[in-house]
Amino acid sequence: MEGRRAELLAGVVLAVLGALSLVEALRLRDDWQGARLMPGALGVVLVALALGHLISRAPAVAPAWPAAVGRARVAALLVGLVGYVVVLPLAGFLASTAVFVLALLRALRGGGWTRSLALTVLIAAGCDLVFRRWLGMPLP
Amino acid sequence: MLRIAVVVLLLTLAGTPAAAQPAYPTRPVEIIVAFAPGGGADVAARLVAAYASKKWGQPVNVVNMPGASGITGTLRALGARPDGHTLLLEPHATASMLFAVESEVPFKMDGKTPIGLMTLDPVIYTVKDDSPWKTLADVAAAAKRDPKSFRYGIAGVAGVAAFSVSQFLYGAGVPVAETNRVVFTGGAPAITALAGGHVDFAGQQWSESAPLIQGKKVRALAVVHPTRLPGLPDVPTAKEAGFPDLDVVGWQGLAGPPKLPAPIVAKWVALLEEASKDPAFLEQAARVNKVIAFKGPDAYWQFQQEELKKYVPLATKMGIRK
Amino acid sequence: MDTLPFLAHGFAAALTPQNLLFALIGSVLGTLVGVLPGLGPTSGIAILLPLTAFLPPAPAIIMLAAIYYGAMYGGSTTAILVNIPGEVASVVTTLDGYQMARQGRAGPALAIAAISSFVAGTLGLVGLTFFAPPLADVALRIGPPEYFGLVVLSFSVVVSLSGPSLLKGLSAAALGALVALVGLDPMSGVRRFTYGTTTLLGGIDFIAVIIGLFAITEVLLSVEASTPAVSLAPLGKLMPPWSELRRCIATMLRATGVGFVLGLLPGCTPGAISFISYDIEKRSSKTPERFGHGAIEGVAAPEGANNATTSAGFVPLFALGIPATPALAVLLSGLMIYGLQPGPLLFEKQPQFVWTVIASMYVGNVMLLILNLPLVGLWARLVKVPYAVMAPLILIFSVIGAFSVRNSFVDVGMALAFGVIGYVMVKLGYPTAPLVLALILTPMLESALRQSLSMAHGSALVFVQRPLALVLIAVGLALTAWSLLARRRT
Repeated sequence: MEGRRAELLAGVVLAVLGALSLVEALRLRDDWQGARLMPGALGVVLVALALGHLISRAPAVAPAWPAAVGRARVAALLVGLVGYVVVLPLAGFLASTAVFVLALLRALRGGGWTRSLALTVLIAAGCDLVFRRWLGMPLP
Repeated sequence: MLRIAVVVLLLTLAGTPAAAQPAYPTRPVEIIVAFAPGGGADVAARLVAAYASKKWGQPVNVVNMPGASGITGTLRALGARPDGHTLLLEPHATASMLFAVESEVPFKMDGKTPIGLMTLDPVIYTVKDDSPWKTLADVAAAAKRDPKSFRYGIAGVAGVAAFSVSQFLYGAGVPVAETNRVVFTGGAPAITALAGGHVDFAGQQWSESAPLIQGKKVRALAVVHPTRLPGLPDVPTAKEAGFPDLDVVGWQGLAGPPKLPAPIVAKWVALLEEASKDPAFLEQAARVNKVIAFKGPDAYWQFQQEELKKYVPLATKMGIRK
Repeated sequence: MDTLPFLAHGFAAALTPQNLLFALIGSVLGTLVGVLPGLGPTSGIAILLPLTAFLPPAPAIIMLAAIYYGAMYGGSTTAILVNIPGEVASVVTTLDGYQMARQGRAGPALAIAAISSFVAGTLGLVGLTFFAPPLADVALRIGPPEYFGLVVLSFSVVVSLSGPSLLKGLSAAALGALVALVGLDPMSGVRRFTYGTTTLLGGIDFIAVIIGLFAITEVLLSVEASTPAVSLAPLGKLMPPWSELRRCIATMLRATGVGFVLGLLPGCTPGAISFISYDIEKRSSKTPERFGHGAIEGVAAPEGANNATTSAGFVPLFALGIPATPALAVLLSGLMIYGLQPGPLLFEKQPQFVWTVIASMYVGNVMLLILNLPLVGLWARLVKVPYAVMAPLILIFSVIGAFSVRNSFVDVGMALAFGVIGYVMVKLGYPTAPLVLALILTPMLESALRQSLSMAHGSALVFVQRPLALVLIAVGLALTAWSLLARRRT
């Protein structure tokens, strides 16, 4: 039943989004042919699609969630990525990138520290040079 | 070999050595433009940035932060440290018009250090090149006669064109509510639509209208400026065309975060004043269809407030004041 | 027909060592910039514009144009190799290009991208050379109702790309449309879906969404396996076999036609054009089920269409002074600073300049082909780089790319969010292509619809009163019906 449950959930999400859209359309102070047109129309469409999910009799496909190990890996990567982005404005580009790269290299390839450190320096310093210094992007 | 040469070439171009400057600026300066590259505000910023870079030997870079009608970028610039290395290019849109229309702007009109006015972008009233209307009076008469088929195009509900066209229509006694207002997302689409005959009248800025006017796809009926524009000697001023009360104009100026030190402001003011008298700079500006008009910080601030006073009643009349 | 002598003069000037050098530098820089996700032609030109300030006008423009073409090409390289479109127009290339890479056919994919780009770009330039002024005039006649017709036409592509479940495809599209509405309404300035924050005031940026949905999602998906890699298949030959190339000739011609004609219209988003071209190719094929699973025509079509569009974009730029895309707007201001007055007078008043630039665009196209075909081998081998190194690089580039759009971390956050959303969508079987297409089309749909209605005092009759608009809408509806029926059959 996994697949069916997932579909119902998706239907609920669509219904919520549709409701939000309609609420926004009603809230706006403009013509119906102005800023309200699209949110209104889209709200109706989203609700219709949500209903479609509810009454759909197509065989539900079970989502291919990864096994526990895979889930952990994905979650870890996500946490690491979010951490990188959060730290970036605080610690600066070079430092944050270096830490991030090192962590990923270690997590993904294991092996010796020397190789990982060398790669880290190459990648982090290289990116800093190209993007921040050479191209002049206003990275922290 | 070629690659080495290329790299050397680029590194030398990119890494301009800082000349020995005893005072400001000691590092690259950023002028933040809260609009997309290539637009009116962006062009004005790049003009000045290039001039200042050459003058002071320090890179002055234009950084674009578009979004939210200029609010995003403006907020960032005003929140920067007031050490003179982050400045704001202020167009009329965010410095006065916004306050006439919106009641909840995330920054205050006086929450900055005005430096000076740089450029003007006069409004030009235009019709399609083969339109039967040859003067502004023709347009007014036609609009009054048959407002339901009169279509005018503007860029944005609260942009320069919205004000300029409304000012004209209301002033001429046209029943505006019965006309067709077509709103475009920018100056270029609006003028293009005019050239294609999808709308009948427009009132955009010179920099937006110039290419199609010069290309004879669109005819200029009048320009809102004290004198005729050098690039358009045959186009009468609004006063000459019989509408002396039209005074909407687009402009760009420079400002900094609040509490910017006086010596830094003075240095920029001196630069802007010098540029406004430099023939080479004036020529460059003319090429990108900008009129150079300099005002010092106090005159500039005064100007902004007068502009605001001008737009508030107009915005109320247009029904866009929130 | 004094075009030819002018063009000849132009070539003479373009082929001087100095100008050739700058065309080369521009092509290389542009390709590099295009390869980086998020750094598309617009930011590339904006960033590199100051570099050209030191040069005299002609070489500067030559370099800028070369950067533009190069960036368009660079975007497809990463689209094929690691499923990261370098910019909007390369999104479609990922559909089949990345699949080809996963089958060990990165070489042929890259090669056909280069070849198709060259052919279509050059043919497009021929159109520019001989037909610019009259074409520009025709382009002017396309107004809001006609653009609406084009959008209806593009909508049929959504149906076509929905995969096995139409319901899921439409849902993805609806989601994309909703994302497009967030922020300030560009016409009336009204705040929509911002819920009082200033963060969302600028809207959800398209590039950030793409980076999230393609790059980040892909990394999240790959990391599940304990030995992730882009392609587990052995690397095959670098050039596609002649039989496939021959099939692609018709593809390239069709793509050139579609890309060029639609590229003339300033209001038609280039991203949408590549989708349309892909769809037309799919419909013209005797075996459409191959599309989406590594069909070589699925790479040839959008790549060709992109370059034809790029060439066509110069028609309104030179002939009318109207930039069709933000990148061209920056290019335009660069041109003006160098004394070029775009507009119909351009060809009369400054023929030397214009023809040198146009000639060097031909040269640039050739240069890109010569540069990139040998590099195909090198690029293709990148697929074999250990994933432990690729993953951090992809993620860093994603962050930088998302940041670079508006120099804001909000966009980076958005990219991350869509990375997760994309992951969930893939797992639940929702196709991402319709979301992207809807994201591209919705602004165009909204402005065309609202403007059309306001031209006629709110009456929907405006669509019926204009023949071209009516035709386009009818064709669009017919294509949609065709797609729906085709689904029934399979």
